[in-house]
Amino acid sequence: MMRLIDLARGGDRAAEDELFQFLHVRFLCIAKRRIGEKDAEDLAQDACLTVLQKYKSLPDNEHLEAWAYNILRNKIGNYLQGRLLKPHSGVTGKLSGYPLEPQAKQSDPMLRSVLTGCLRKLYRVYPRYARAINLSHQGYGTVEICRRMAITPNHLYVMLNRCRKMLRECIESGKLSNE
Amino acid sequence: MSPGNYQMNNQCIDPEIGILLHAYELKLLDEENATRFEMHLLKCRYCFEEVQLFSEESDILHADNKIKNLTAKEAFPGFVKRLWRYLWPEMPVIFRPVVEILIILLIAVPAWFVFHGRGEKQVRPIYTIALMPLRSAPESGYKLSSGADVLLNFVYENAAPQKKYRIEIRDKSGQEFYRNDSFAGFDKYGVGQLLVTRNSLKAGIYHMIIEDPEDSSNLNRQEYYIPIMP
Repeated sequence: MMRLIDLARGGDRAAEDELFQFLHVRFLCIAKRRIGEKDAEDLAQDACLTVLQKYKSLPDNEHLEAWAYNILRNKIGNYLQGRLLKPHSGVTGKLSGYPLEPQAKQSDPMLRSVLTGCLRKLYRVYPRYARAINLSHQGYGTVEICRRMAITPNHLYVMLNRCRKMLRECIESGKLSNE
Repeated sequence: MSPGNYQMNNQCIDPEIGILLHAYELKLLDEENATRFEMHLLKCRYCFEEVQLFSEESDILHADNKIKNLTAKEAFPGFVKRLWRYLWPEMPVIFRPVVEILIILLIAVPAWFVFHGRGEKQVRPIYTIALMPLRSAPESGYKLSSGADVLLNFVYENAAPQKKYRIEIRDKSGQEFYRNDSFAGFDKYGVGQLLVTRNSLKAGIYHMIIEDPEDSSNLNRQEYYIPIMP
């Protein structure tokens, strides 16, 4: 990112386009996780434009990522604040328990079936993974999950990443690595 | 040149933050760590690509109701399921506890029968009776413990080792209890031994006669009485 900004500052048009693309995919990814699919695209684009308008006025490149990220965060914050103030317009008319939680999109049945099969296998090998995921479904965060499972956060992260790796391998190959 | 291709994308540039990857995908992180990780996503191509590639799976994992039900069931399995998982876990068949228990039983049970069962037979108690030559049946007798076989010790004067003698034991009614026409169990002192199983010996007085078939003289015969108490 630094290199692209340096080039763009020097007047390289292609580098500026590339910088826009670079930021856009990342901002979109983050925004989707924060606010859901619906308005993520607009918000990411808006944040990218702000960065492109202002990056030349920055004195140095040292904290550029943090600065760019803060622009996105502010946009997300404003968006969520706006959504809180708006009356809910759900199809069913019911209020969600978590109004800021992105709406779950319809999942691919094929992928869900593969994932279910792999999870069954994985849960047999790592029942603690099932426990952690179950607690996350109940809305607990890292601290509470670690307290309930009597493990440290680091231990939890390592276990989650290990299981994620096995899950990915299983989805790709159809079997767990230790089968 | 694609964005960010100045860095390696096959590993995370900061594993200390990269370790938060799956926790981030599952939305487990608090605001501080989520912010740290999202800033990391702007720098680390590897983590960004991982999040992108696994986004659909992590959405399903996080929010799908069927997955939630499955997870809830698997997180708190019943006793039978837990026992079965313990006995038949996901590992090569040879290492599964059920197989190991079976192998141990297959080795241990026959071994127990061989070493314990046979050993018990070998150390079965023996009751030794040293017979005294008497002219008539004694009034008192031998009280044998149950289960103990009886070893009869007796003397036949001038008996030679390896030479064959006739031994005959009759009960009180005169019925033959034991007969051996070629008994060769005397040692050089003329002492012979005869093992009789306890079960075959009933209470009563037994009459034992030892003879040398080659000797026709009157002094050839040696007699013993074996009184067994009930």
